[in-house]
Amino acid sequence: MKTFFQTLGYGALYIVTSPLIALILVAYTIYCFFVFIIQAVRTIVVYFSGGTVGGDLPEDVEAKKILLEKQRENLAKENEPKQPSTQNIFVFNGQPQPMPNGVNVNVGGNPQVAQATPSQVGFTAPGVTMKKPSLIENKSDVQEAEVSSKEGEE
Amino acid sequence: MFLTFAKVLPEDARKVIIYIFLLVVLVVIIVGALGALIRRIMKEQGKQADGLIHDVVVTGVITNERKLFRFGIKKNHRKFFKEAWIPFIIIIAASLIMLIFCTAMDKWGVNPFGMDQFGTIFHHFDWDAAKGEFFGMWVVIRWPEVYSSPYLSADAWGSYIFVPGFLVGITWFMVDVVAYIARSYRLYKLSKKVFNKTLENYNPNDAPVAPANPENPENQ
Repeated sequence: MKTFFQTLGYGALYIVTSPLIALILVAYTIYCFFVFIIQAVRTIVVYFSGGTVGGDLPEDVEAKKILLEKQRENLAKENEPKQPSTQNIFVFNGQPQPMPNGVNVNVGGNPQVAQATPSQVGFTAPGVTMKKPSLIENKSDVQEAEVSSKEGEE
Repeated sequence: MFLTFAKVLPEDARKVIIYIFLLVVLVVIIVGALGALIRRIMKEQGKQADGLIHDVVVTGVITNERKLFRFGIKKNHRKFFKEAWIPFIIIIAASLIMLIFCTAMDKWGVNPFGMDQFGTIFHHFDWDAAKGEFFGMWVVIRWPEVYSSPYLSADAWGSYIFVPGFLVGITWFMVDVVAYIARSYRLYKLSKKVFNKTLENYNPNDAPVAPANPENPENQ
């Protein structure tokens, strides 16, 4: 409803001010006609004097120079040789492993101390008794872990 | 008072007044909708002005409101020329054909839009016979009779080419003029806004805290 009355209002305004709008339009048309003639003459003069017809203005040339320099600087920064990054690792059962999810562990000390524990990785399942990480040599170890987890769920 | 006056009027007159009122409302709504469409198109055309001055503002080549506006107008003139040369050529070509027609037929006082020229391809109605008296005014009160049906005339071939070409060219040129006006207005607004330093929305509490100096023992 609001849009309807808005449209009605604008329509009435345009009808009332239509002579003024027509006058402005005619004035701009005559002005643009002269602009066109001047630009046409300029284009012909530039063409026959050997210049570039659609050439840039001096300010555009300067702006392009600055943009080109910035581009070169950015490229030079990207191509700089990168320094080797220090990789965080943790020791799992005596074997060095890449650290998941950015967990930071002190590297270089006692491998036993540097072992990742459930509390360090932020997870402790209810009712599950976590053992000291070791290579699974017997299936019975796996079964024991499963039984204790089921007891926890109950 | 209006209702009393309406009751006094005959049934036919009341109907005519209602139809005229509805027609006026319809015309106002159509004009309003067209105006809204033109406003939207002009807004989109005005956004092209941003591309004209973007590089010189971003790189800091121009840092002055007046210089920016004058630079923008120069670019706008060039853009207008690039857009308007085609319709201009169309108008010139149509005019040349009309000139050749006038020379060949030796008709120099001819009106290309007249009934005996381009008007030959339209119906012509007898509006005088359709008028009648309505509250002291002579207005059209019945459907007019057709007194001339469309036909092609060999004596009007010049106008058949000139009139469509001229109308297409002038409409296209006017669209480019409207785009020029939209871009000029946008340039004027941008030149005011871009270098305008205002503290209206400044809140010192939102200012970023200066980074701590690692060499300062107090911050450790």
